[in-house]
Amino acid sequence: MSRDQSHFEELRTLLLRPEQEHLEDLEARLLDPQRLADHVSRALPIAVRRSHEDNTLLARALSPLIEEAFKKSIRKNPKLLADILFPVIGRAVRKAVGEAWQRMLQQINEVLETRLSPRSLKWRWQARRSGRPYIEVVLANTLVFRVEEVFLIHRETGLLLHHKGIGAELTETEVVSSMFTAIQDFVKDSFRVDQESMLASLQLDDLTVWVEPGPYAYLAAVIRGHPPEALRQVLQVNLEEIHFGFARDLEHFSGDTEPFEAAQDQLDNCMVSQLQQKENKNTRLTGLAIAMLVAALLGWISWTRYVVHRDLTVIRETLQQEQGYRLTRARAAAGNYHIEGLKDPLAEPLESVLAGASLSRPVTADLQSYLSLEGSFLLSRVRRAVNPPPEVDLDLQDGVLVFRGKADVPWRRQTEKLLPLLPGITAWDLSGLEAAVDPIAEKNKQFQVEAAALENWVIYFNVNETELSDTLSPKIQEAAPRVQRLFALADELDKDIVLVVAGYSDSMGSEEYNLKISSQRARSVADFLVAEGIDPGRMLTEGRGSSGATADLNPERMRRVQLTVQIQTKP
Amino acid sequence: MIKKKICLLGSFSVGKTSLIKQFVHGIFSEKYLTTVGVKIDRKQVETAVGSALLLIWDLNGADRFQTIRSSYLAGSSGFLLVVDGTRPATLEVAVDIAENLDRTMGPLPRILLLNKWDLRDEWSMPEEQISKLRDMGWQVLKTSAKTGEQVEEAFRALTEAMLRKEGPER
Repeated sequence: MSRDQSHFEELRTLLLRPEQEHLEDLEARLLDPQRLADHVSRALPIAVRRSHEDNTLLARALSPLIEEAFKKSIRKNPKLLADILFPVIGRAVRKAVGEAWQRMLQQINEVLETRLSPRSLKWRWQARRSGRPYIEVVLANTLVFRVEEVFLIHRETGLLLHHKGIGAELTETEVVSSMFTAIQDFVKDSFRVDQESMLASLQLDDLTVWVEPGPYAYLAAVIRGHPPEALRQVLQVNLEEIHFGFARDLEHFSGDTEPFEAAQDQLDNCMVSQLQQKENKNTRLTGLAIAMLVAALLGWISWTRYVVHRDLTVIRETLQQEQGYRLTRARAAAGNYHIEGLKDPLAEPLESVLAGASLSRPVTADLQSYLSLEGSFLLSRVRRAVNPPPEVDLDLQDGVLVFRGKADVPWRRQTEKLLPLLPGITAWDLSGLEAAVDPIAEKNKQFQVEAAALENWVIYFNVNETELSDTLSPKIQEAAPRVQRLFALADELDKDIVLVVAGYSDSMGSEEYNLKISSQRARSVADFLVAEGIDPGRMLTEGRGSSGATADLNPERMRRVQLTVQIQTKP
Repeated sequence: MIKKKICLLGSFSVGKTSLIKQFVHGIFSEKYLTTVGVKIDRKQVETAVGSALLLIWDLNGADRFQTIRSSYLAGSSGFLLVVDGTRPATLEVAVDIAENLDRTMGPLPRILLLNKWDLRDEWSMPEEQISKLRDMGWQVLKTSAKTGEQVEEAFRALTEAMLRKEGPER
């Protein structure tokens, strides 16, 4: 049995050996933490992924654990976290600050927008053209600076990792770098500030040193002029890049600066400069030209204003002094002057009134008619109405219209009727008028006298006598000049007259004979007058026989020739 | 280029500044020592194991380690501890400083300079103690800032020690 048993055991061993070994191996794996860990570590990533895919249970289970571990880690070495986060936080902060900065620029923009100057107009134009915010252009034009040196300094040792400078290289940059670090330390120690913080800037007259701190190294930029805040960002970005690119070299720095030669690019990026464009001669000339143009324009405007003011004053004063005008408004319109008011029809025309004023623009007028009661207008209106003879003088004395001189009676009567009808005339005095002689009436009278004299003229003939004998000639001689005078007077008076030469006979002969002899006698007289120069066309000869005989008239008086003046009515 | 920051430490009037003057021609005036408490100079040093640019921080004299600005020491790769050979008390100060340095900054190359060797007549160094220090591995040099004796050697020795120390790491 024991043999059997041992055999059996042996057999079993033989049969189950692989299984046994496998089981033992499994057991060992489970019991040996080292091996179990090896095993699980292979499955764990897959298991975690699966679990994450299926549900969030694992994440929830792990989160308190991780949190605790994280807290512990930070408590143990806060600087580590800070160093890790430095590049990330830098970006985040920069973004936030950038946005705040943009907002501020916007506000300043709005303030500046409202201000105006030739320079600002230029900048505004630049901003418009480039599409940049106006404030940015202003800052760019006003901020003048140049980064002259950039030091990349190892924070702990103060050793210069790399340096970049304009022009002549400083021979003592190494020492400067260390000394600068020493001074940083000195300041920190003296003022008991946090060891992690740094002196951010030093100001020496025109030179500014800006320090951009990082966990392992810092940048010190020596700037001439007034650097813009944006430069800080440039320094920051490049320092972060250096920390990122040279993380290992910085962390394990033991004095070898060679790797940092490669930081050349970042330092070059920091060598920013902004030079104000000097106003060259051209722009100054342009400025001068613009200034002169503006001055000329202002001068022209004020000159024009002065001229307009002067002209309007002249117009007002002239028309105020001129009788027959009442000005209510005078103003300058486009290219001319326009006046409104009242004008007496008798007043001088506007053109001649303003002729002497030498105005710079033509004058248009809108004038209503009115009657002026001023003295000279009253007198001229009276003169127009009564049309006085030249010998009559008119005058206004204390409101009384006084007439003086010689005037004929009909005119005087007419005037006396008209005067009450004239506006503005309330009292008049005609006592100064003398009655004047009418020359026509005088001539009429003369004419009447001459005509009567001629009609009284008579020439007597002997029996059967028809020719003018010598005895009769003195009598006929006397008639001719009178006829001449009468005709002249008639011409002057514009009268058409005919002289009728009528011959008569006594009643002794037959009627037929008497008519014949009487007409012969008239003819003789007419012929004589024609011979004396009288126009035959203005004479009419008639033989009237014995028709003119009367009972008491003796025959000697009956044989005669008589003249009559007949006045023709004009057609 | 290898650059190293070293500090000169020691009591007052042991001749630290004179040593540097003998060694380099600096740009900063000594007034920094009394104002900022440090003056820095540089010197390119060639040794058998390589060359290095030394940035030499000359710290204001201190009789106790505690009065030294620790921030000035930070980042140093080596130290020169300067003693006035005519004044034994200054050796005690140097030893005290060295002990404190070891404690706060770890073992860094350092050389003990017994200065004013030109005043051999007034020499007053406890030889027993010196040899004890030598036995402990201290490198000790007798220097004279006045004659320049051993000055360059001191700087070169420190440089070599610093370069050798980091040698295996590189």
